[in-house]
Amino acid sequence: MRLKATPRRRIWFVRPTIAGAAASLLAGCTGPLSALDTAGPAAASIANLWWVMLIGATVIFVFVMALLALAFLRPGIGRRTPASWWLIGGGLAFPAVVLTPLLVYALWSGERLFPTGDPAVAQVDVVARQWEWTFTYRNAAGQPLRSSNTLHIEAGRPVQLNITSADVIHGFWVPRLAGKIDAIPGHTTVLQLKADAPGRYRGVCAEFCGVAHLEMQFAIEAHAADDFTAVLGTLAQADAPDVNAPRARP
Amino acid sequence: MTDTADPIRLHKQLSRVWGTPPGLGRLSAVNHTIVGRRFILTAFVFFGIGGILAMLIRTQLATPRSAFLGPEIYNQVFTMHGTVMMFLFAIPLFEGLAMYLLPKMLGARDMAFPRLSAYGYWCYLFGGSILIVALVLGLAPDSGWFMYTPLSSRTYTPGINADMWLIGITFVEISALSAAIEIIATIFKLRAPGMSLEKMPLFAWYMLVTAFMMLFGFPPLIVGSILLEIERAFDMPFFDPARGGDPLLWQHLFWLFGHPEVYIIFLPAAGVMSTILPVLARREILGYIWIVVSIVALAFLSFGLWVHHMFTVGIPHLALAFFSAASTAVAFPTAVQFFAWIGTLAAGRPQLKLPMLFLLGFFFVFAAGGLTGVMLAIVPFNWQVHDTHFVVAHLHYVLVGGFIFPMLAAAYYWLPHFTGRSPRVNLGISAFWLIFIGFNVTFLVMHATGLMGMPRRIYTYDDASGWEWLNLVSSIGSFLMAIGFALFTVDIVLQIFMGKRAARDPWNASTLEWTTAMPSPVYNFGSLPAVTSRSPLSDADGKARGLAVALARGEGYLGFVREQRMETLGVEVTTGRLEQVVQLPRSTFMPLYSAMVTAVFFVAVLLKFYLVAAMGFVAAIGMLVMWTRGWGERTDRGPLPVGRGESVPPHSEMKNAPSAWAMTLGLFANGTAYASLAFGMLFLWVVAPNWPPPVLLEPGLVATALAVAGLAAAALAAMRSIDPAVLAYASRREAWLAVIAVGHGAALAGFAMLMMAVPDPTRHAYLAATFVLLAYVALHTALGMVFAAYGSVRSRNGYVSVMRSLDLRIAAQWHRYTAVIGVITLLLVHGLPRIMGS
Amino acid sequence: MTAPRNRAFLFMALGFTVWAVAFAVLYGVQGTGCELGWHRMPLGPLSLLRWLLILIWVAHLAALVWLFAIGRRALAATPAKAALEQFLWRASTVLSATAVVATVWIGLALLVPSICVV
Repeated sequence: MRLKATPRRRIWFVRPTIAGAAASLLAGCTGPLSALDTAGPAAASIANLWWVMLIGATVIFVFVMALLALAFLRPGIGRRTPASWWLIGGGLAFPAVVLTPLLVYALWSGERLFPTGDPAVAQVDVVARQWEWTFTYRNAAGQPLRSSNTLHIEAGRPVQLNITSADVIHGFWVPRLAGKIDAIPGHTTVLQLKADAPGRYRGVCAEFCGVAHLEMQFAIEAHAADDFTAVLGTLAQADAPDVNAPRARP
Repeated sequence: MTDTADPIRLHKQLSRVWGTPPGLGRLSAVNHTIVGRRFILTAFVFFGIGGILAMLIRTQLATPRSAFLGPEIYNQVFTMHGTVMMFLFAIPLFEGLAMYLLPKMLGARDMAFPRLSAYGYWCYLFGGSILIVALVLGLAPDSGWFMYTPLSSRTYTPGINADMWLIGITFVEISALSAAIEIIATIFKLRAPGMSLEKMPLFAWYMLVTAFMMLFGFPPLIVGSILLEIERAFDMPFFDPARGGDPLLWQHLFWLFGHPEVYIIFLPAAGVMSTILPVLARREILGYIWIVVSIVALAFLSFGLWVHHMFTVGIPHLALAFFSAASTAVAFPTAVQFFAWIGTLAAGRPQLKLPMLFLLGFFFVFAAGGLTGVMLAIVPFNWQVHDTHFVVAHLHYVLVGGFIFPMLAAAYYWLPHFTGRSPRVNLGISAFWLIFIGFNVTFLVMHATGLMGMPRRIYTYDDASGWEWLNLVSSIGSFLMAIGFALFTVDIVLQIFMGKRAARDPWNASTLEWTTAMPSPVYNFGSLPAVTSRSPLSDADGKARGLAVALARGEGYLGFVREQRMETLGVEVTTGRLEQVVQLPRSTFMPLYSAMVTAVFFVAVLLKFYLVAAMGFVAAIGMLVMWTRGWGERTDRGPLPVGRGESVPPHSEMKNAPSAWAMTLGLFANGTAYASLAFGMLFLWVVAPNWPPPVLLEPGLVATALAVAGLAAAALAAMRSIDPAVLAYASRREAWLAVIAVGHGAALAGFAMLMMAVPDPTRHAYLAATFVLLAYVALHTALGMVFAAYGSVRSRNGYVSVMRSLDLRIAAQWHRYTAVIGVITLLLVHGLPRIMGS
Repeated sequence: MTAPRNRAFLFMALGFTVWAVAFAVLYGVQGTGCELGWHRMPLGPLSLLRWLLILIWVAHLAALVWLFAIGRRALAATPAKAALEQFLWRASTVLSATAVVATVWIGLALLVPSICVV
């Protein structure tokens, strides 16, 4: 069965799709949980990476679709092209040129997102359980303090979160500030983040954890220095260890 | 022997021997054409079920705070959508296509193990039915299609839901593994004479590599599922951190399967691309050897990517970097194939026929999916979009683009071959556009939905998050896509029942399947071709007709029926040189009955009737042994004439018959399962919390000595039993077979003693893992006794001789394997406590 | 004789098998070494663990280069008319070379990232 050739309709279709998608992305970027509406250096670094990759991917995509269209619009155009141009040029050289700098940059920028282990950084122990979050602040003097479902931090200063779970696997994610990390029973995972300015930043549980997974939301409140001390003063004292810590390995 | 010039008489004789009885007798079919079509049709039914589940999801998510589905039902719906699509649709669909096409493309009359094909189909149908029954009863699994622990363990999912998944899926996996073994054996041994490896159609290379990936990729999942089921049923703590288990062990085992799984799904579709595209471009594909190299590289690389599904579990950066690098590396072999296809189109004269439209859909959608895949391989970016709708968008782009579009193209391309008809109406074009546009509308904006923070697997959302219109657009797109698929179904049904008679070779193709009549007769070819090039159809007068006529007239090999047997030819693996005549079994109900008994076993485990389960297990083994009753030769036949003046021995007198390969390949899979178990033990020792365990085992020396002596005796006796000096005399054979049985008996006793000495396997993961490792070996020794007994019976009934030693050789592989893993297990069980204690 | 052709066919899988072994060993040693604290033992400018990983990586690279050389020699010794052998040895050589590149590629990971969590 012969069809009418419709390659022109195909090309016509590609650009509006991509333009529409780009427009929707740029217009709708802000939101309380948007990873592109950044409020901290970690999220900002990742968002920049995203925009670079999006532009690169779009260019590559358009280029490849154009080659495809050309094969139909000008039949036989590649008859004298050596096969090695396609196989080695397109298949090997082209990905190498794109992926090598991307991978190197990714490893380098990823390294800077890892916790530094600096003892001067404030530490908070986070315990996830079905279906709430508990935060225990390791206070410099006196008893550790505790809060539920709202994590208080000092704006402009990094904080290291030591995260675990009391039951199933949960995910700790505050998109506007940093990437996510899982809360796994029997393990402690570490996330370091910073909020540039005071404000309230919403977080969600990012690993499916049962029937009320949706309801397990929380927030980070970043305060200016004086407010922060005052807020800490209002928190309850943590009376007992929150969950049995895994027996330390010898 | 027949008069070779009368194709009609030849057709009648072959049909009588190869045919399947009508009516209920169709249930006894083992023919690859029938079983392959069954797989495909059943897969499409499951696709429909998965599609309905998808529509439920999109309906629920179309508006904020929707009251359509509550969280309990929603969790079952999305879990089943993923499970049905991945396990009950994608894999069986390409299995069915491979089963249907491979013998025809390779110039054979059937697959290597027809009864195994049928058994695999029934296992698939019954296992899938367990899951659908669960869905209908509201007991469907609800922990996500990857069933992370501890959510899926008994404490947090006390109901039978998770067991339905674990048992149903393991049941279906039997069919996947058996298909993989059969595909490899068929491609290696059953090609037409002269078809050396470099002349093989690319589709066969793709399926060969895919099948090997299945052999190594499915066992980790099977092991993980069995361990989780044991934990749920008997409280043995493999994944419970409080008792030395680790939830991460499940993730490693699952994704060791899960990542290769998606390439297992992609590669056959790429094989379809490499087959159809050159035909419609009217030019041979560019870079045959480069494509073969890319497929092999892709297969290996895909086993090094699995942790990219676990980038957020707190693993150190160096480890993440290995997997990030490997994940980007996989872009290279993919790009080579991609540009080989575009280059072929550019160098040819492409025709915009209907299958080509779907291939173009592949290029667009899969390229986009591949690009977002590279993004996801970048660790920092992954940390933001993991577990969000960005990943949902990506996975649908690569799966729908990389699998569905090529399979829709395959449907239109091969439907004339399946049915003998071509379409009268052009609904396919409208179906394509609805699916293509609907798909992109649904999933393109979903990337933004994920970046805006919408996690996966939430049953609704509020209107303050900014996700409302994104979800509404996706839902509207999904309805368009659903209409498109409905139209496709209507179009296919119309073509099947009302299409006009198709011309032979409607696409002007170059592979052998187009020389059969359409629809294909049960025996495929009147006689088998001698192949001398990569495009056998071009040899005979440049048209399929010349070769087809010659084969139908019986001018090739085996253009006759010998003693009412079904025969095809066996060749050497690499050269394709004619080597043996393979005799195949006729239709039988045994595969169906065996699958029913196997189902009794699985359902009994599900319902916790363990005594019935044990009886079912024994009965299933017994039935499988009964397959070979009355099958085989009682005398040495020597070389048999096969046409064209040549004679070769029957497979029963060859050392490297397809069945010997089946055991070898099965042991590869088995060994991978063992390696997964051993890895699990070592992983828990190094990484899991709450180690060292409260009690360290001191395995008894008597039990160990008994085990070692027994294993060694069995293995050495097995080697002796296949020595020609022994094979020549019944008394000697049976004596050595008895030694094997006694050896395994002693080993079984030794391992049983060691198992009983494990104080309380529920107390700590170390004890549980040790117990399971010992049980694994004990099971193998018990089956070794079965093999030895079986060999004795075959020997006594006259089926064994110096020439006809297959039964004993196949068993010898098992005995050697058991000895090796037995010794390794003893080293682990003795060594680990010693290292821990120091 | 089919034995040399079978050898060539097996060779196709050998290169990436070595790569897979390298990958598994590197990942396993990294995990075990972190648990045993080898990343905290300095040996010159790098830690003991990083030196060990680099050593493992270099050893596998050497094995792969050797496999590539074997394949190249075998390909050169194959007569041009022997289509099957040409195909198998050519494919083996390209696969070994690819495995070398893939091993170098994952070696990039050995340069920058921290080996263990802090």
